[in-house]
Amino acid sequence: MKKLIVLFMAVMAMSGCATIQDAIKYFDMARYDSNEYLLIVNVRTQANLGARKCGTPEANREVSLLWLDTLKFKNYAESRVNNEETVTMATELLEIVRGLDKRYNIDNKTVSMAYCTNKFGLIEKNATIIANVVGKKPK
Amino acid sequence: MDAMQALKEWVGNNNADLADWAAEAESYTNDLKSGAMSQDEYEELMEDLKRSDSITKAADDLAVRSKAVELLDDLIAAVKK
Repeated sequence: MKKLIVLFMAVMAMSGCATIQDAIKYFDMARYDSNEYLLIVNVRTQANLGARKCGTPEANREVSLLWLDTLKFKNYAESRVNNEETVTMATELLEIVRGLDKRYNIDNKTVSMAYCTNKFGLIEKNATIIANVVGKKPK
Repeated sequence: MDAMQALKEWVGNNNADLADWAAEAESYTNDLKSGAMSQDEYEELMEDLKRSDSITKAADDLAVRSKAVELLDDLIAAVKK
């Protein structure tokens, strides 16, 4: 009984929640999923590969592939329950990629080398941050 | 300091260290001033930094939640013994 009381107190303290219901919700999270992890690693990899094609005609295709990978990650994250933080990250990342896709594949604008390398670099950095935390979800 | 705050400080700093968005902003501004990128490209990248900040915050929240769940799993395992 003592152990259970200690456990209850620990749960309430760690969750920072006022009610038992909130605490239960806080701890009921989407756990590690190898598909989700692979999808964000794909985004990171594609961003890295895309940056190498800045200033070449192949950049458009690389951007399309990056858009596809990021959309897959967001849709997959959304399909999982109690996955709020990952959905937030995926949605914001997709919006960052949207700007790149719009310039290259919708508006067909002239894109500067500095914009291209900075944009891919920013996407890769964000994908790395996301991969680090998605890969450390409890199993 | 409450347990939640302690937990946040314990696990929440790695992503913030990696995400040095102020340095990115400075680099973009230098590119704009040198004429390496256009005004609208610059504005888009600066907007992206706001989104990047949201990503970092959500990543930190997830890291804290993951650690709390792991600790709870360990506590439950200890109670069962």
